[in-house]
Amino acid sequence: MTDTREQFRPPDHPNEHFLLTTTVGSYPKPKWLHRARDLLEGEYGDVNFDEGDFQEALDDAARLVTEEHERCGMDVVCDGEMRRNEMVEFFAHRIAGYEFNGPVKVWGHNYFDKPSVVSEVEYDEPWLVDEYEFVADVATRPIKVPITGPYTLAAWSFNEVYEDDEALSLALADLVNHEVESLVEAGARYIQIDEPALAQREDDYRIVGECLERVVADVPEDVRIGLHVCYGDYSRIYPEMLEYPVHEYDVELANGDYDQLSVFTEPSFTKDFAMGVVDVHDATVERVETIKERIVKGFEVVPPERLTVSPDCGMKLLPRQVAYEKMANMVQAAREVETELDAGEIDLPASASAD
Amino acid sequence: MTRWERTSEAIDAVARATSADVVVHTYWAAFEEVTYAHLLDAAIDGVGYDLVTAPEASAEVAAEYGTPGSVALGVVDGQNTRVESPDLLRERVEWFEDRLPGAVDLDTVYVTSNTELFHLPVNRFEEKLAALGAATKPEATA
Repeated sequence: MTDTREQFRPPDHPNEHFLLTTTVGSYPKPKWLHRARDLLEGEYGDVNFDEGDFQEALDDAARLVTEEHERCGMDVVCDGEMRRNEMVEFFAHRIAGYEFNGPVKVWGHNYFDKPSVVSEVEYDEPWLVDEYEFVADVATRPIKVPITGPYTLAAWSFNEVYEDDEALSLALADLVNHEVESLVEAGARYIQIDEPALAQREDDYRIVGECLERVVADVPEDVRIGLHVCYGDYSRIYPEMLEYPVHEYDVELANGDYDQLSVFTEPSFTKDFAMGVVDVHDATVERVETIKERIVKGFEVVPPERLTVSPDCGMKLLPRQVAYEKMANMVQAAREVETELDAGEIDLPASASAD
Repeated sequence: MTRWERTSEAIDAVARATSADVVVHTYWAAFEEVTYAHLLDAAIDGVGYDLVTAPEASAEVAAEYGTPGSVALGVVDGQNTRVESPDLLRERVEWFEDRLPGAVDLDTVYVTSNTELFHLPVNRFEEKLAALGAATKPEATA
């Protein structure tokens, strides 16, 4: 497979080794952005605040968070999904065939506007190209575009029309492919497909595989494609998932204290491994030393040139300051591990140094 | 004591502790044969079947081993916003009854959803209840 990773090494990268540092996607929204939405929706009565004002607030937030990612030194950044309210709703609002009937209770006391598919799904309006172009204009570093995968879009919707979720997933996969192609045309070089639903119903890995074949159809081979799967039993999709047409797998492991790390060592991992090294469900900021130890664990799975360092998952539920400090410590830890690798101070497992 | 006997005794203990009618309802599958046979030994008033996701298997086990005097028929899909018509619901009930041996005489048929309706949006929840109500009205349609 083509090396899609080296293009993201910063020109001024200080070390010989390069551990690609990036984020999964979502980031805490500034409180004023929530307030701005409330203003737009009339929560504070009839005030002079229109759609244009709200778009300006979204632009400001996207700019701010992109720069916040850059400030902590991350190699590949994004805007923290400031324009997206939720990972299924956002897309369903833009896909013809979807309808919203109101919130349903999902977990704890959380509600979700779970949409219904009431007619065949069709591509209607662009989903993410505007978001991408704005970030590309603001950022000085390379960008990753997270996009919810077709299987999750199907699994987290009511399916009133298609024979089963597989049929709906495949129909949605063609639309995701359309959007990925548009993003690539606009200049995107790193796209992450988010399929958290796969971790809930691991036996459906075959459907996800078929979906991904459609999603990446006709995408140039130098475009890096990642797959994010979190909070599940990875042993049920490994090693089968290595056959997916993606370059990188982004998995959550810090939350479970790496109890599933060994899943990925037998048989050996043949693609790039993006490993969660900070826990997004714990507001304690991990020390740099702790994160370094976690990064070194990753070498049990892949050699340094195939390791990506990222948080477990989207960070949006954390306090913003905590999210920032976790990212900053993560980047510092990666740079220190690189320095130690350069100096030969880290003993790599035989499997990892064989490349 | 087998686990089926233990289950049957446990349900028995619950059922005997109340004067209310007790219906044991399962969903997302039919009862397995052994479980079902033991369940019928418990002091329950009725058994519920998921006729949305497991109609064939439910009807088979009911035809093979019989039913208590009352049955609950889960004919409304509690996991999908698509609202069933009263006609479709009546068809599902009649389909099940036709599968039972001729001699069976049911006291009560509870016409209901296969699962709880808790995870639906409120408007669809209400429309499904209305469809159930309409389906149970005699001569509701021509």
